[in-house]
Amino acid sequence: MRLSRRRLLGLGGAGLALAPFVHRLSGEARGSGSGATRLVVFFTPNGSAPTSWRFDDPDTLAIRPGPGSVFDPLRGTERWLLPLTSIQLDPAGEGHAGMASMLTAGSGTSIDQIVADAIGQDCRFRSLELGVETSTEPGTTTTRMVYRAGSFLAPDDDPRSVYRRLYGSAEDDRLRDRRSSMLDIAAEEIAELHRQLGHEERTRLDVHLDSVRSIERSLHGSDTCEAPGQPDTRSFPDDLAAQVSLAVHALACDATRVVSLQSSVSGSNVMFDWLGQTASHHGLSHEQRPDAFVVCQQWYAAQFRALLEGLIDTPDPHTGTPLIESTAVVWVTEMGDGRLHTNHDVGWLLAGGPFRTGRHVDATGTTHEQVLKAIAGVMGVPEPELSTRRPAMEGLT
Amino acid sequence: MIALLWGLGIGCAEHTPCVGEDPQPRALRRLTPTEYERTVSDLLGVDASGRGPDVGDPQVEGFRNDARATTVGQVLADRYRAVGEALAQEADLDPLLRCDPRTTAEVECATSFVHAFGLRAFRRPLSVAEADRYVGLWQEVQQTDGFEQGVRWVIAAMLQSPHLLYRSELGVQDRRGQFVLTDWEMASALSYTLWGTLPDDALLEAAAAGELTRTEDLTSHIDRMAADPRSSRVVVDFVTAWLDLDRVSAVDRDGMSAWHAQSMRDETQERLLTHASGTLRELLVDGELLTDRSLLTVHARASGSSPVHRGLLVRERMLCEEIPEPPANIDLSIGGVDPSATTREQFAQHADNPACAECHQFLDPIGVTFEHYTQLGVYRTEERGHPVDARGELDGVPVHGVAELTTALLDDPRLRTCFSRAGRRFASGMHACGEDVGPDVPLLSTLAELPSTPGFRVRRGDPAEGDTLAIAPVGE
Repeated sequence: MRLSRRRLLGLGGAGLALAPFVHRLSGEARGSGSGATRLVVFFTPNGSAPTSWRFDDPDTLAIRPGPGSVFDPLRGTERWLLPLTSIQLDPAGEGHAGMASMLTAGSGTSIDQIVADAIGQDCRFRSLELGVETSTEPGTTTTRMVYRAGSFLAPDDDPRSVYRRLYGSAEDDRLRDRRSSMLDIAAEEIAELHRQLGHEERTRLDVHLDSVRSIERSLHGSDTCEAPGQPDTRSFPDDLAAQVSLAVHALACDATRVVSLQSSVSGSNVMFDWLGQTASHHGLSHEQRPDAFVVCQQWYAAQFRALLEGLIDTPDPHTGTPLIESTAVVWVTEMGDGRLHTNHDVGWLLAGGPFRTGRHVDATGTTHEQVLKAIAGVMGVPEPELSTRRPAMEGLT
Repeated sequence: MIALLWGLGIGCAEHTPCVGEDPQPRALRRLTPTEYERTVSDLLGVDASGRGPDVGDPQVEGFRNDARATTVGQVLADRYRAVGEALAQEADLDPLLRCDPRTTAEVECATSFVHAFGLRAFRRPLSVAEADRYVGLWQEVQQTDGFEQGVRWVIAAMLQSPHLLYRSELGVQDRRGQFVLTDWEMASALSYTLWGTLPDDALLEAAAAGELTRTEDLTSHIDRMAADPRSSRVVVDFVTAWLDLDRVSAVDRDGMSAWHAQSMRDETQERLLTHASGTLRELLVDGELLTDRSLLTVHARASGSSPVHRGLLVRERMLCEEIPEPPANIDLSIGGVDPSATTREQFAQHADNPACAECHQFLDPIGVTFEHYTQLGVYRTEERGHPVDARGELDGVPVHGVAELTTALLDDPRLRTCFSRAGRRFASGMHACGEDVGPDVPLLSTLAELPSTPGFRVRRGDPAEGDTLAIAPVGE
C-alpha cells in the first residue's frame, strides 16, 4: 500500500495531536507484544557503569531518579521501556572485540540484516546503516557491528549523504533516468568482470553489484512523503541528532523498515567536550568517575529519548497509530562494566509496542544470542540460525 | 602468552602464502581513497584532493588497502556516484575533447572521446561492446540535453565503472594454466605502485607497443618513475599507513583543536616529503621521525602521554610483533593513583602487578623513552613539577629517550625486516614476509622492488578455478 502525500500528512495531523498525549498520560504499560513491523538498533560504546543500571524493584520498573542513574533522562517514557540486565555476551570476543559478536553472536550476519531480509525487501532501502564518527576509525572487529556473510556494512556517517540518498532523486524524473542508465552500465560491467574471476574475488563483486542494484532501487518511489529540512551541521551532537531524525523520517515514509544507528566505535575516543569533558569516552569508561562517564551515558540516554519521542510523535503511514506501537527499538552496547571490560552483566534497553514494556527483566543466565533470537522472533523470524542451538529468550512479549 | 609473543614476530610462522617468498595470487584491487583522488584528478585535470570517498575500509594487519578485504558497499557506491556526477559537471571539457563538435559530426566526436578518455580511465583500450554502451549513453542524454551533457554523463558513468574503481591484476591464462599479467596491467601496476595514480602517456604507449614485457624496458621505466617527484608521494603514503599517522585527524586529545590536527598533518607530510627520497636511517635520524607530532599524538591517551600506546607502536608496527589485547574482566583503570605523580609513576603499577607485567614488561619500558612528549607531541622537561625520566629499555638494552631508541631500533634486524615486510604489504595489499634490508635501504626500494621482480607478472589462480577461465580480457 502506498499512501499519497496528502493522505499521509492528513493522518499526521490527527495522529500527532492525539496519540502521544494519550500514551504519555496513561500509567499502564503500553506494549502489547505483537504487530512489530520495524526494527531500530541504537548502539553506544564502552558498556555502562553498573551502579547506574540498577533497579530497586525487579518486578515493576522503578527507575531511580537522580544524578547516578543512566535512566534519569528517560523519566516519563518508562511505559515504553523494557530494560534487560545481566545478559551474558556469548559467544563473544574479549573486551572490545565483543563489538563484532554483539549483533551476530559470531554467525557472520547481524540480526538486523536477518530481519531486513525478511521484512525489508519491498522498501527502497532493505535496511539503513547510519553512524556518527565510525568511518574515521578503520574497520576492525572492534569498530563495526552490522555484518552480512562475514563482511561488515559501513554505516553512513554523513547526515547530508543520508538525506541525499533518501530524497535526492525525488523531484527530477530526468535526473533519475540518467542515474538509472549510468548505474545499469556499471552493473553490466560488474557482471562481466565477475565471470573472469576466481571464487574468492567473486564474493567481493557480488557485494558491489548488490550495492549498485540497491542504489538503482532506491532511486524509484520516493514519493510517499515530503523531504524534511536538509541537515547541514558537522559536530558529534548535531550529527547524532540529525541521524535520529532522519531515521524516524525514513521509517515514517516507509523508505525502510530496518535502521541501525551506531554512535562511534568500541573504545570510542570521542571527547564529550560539549559537556566539558577533557578525557575520551573510553578513558572515562575505564576510570568511571561517576561525575564523568555517567554524565556521558546520560547524554546518550537523552539522544535515545529523542528517538523514542520521534517514534511516539510520528504516525505509521499505514495505520495512523504512532510508529512506536509497531517498532521494536533496541539500545545495545558491546560490554558490561566498562571499567572492567566484562562480557557479562551487559545491560540492553528494549523499547516499543512490540515488547511487553513498563517493567525490568533480570536476564541472568541468558546469553545475548538468546536475546537476539527473541528480537528476531518478535520481528517474525522465529528461528534465526546463529551460532548455537540455544533457544530464544522467553518472556519479552 | 610469552611464547605467543615471540613466535609470531618475524617472518611467516604459518602457512599463509606471503608476498616476498611465494608467488602472488591474481587480484582485483579497489583503489584506496587517495588513489581514487589522484586518478580522477589526473584524468579530469581537476583538483579532487579530499574528495575521495572514505567510509572506513577494513584494517588488515595494520593496513587499510587489503586487496581482498576492500569492497564497494552501498554507502561507498553512492559516494562514488555523487562525487562522480559532481566532478563530471565541474570538469573543463576542452582539453579532454579531441575534436570540435561544431566541425566534426557530433557522434564521431563523442565516439572518439569515449575511446580516448576510456583508455585512460580503464588503463586499457575499451572493447567495441564497451565503447558502444557509452556512446549509447551519450546518445540518450544528448537527445534532450545536448552534446556537452552527453559527454559529462559519459564521464560520470566511467567514474562508476569497476574498470576505473579496481586495479586489475588478473592476467590471462597461458597454456600452462598460469595467469600472466598483460602489458596494460603491468603499466597500471607500475604507476600505482610508484606514483599512486593512473599511468602516464609514456607508460600507456609502452604498453600498447608491448614493451613492458621486456626486462630492460621495464627497468628503464622504473628508473624514470623513481626519479619523478610523484614517487615521493607514495613513500609518504606508505610511511603514513605503516605508523598510522593519518589518524591524527580522527583522534581527540585534550587541548587539541581541528586547526591543531591540520597543522600536525601538514607538518608530518612536510617531514616525510623532505626525506622520502632518502633511506630508512635518514628518515629516522635526520628526519627525527620518532619526535613527529602526529606520531606522538596518535599514539597517546586523550588526556596524557602513554607508555603503553607508544610501546605498542614500537612492538607492533616497527618490530612486527604481536601483543595480545588485554583480557576481559580485569580492572584497567589507572584511577586511585596519586594524581600528582608523573605518568611514569602511575604506569609503574603495571610492573608491580604480575598479571599486568606479563604483557606490559614488553611495552612500558619502551614507551617510557617517549616521556618527554605530551599527548600533543609537545616537548617537556617537567611533568607535574617533577623532572621527566625517559630512561627505558629495548629487550634488556638500556635506552634513554627517543634519540637512543632510534639508534637501538636501527641496529635491530627486527626493525629492518619489519620495514621490508610493511613495504611489501603496502605495495601488494597482501600478507607479506620481510627480510633484513639493512638500515640504509632507500625508502622507495621496498615498494618498487615488487614489480621489478621477474615473478611479479605470473600469478597464481584459485585452485578451484580449473580451466574455465581462459577468457581473454577485453581490450586484448
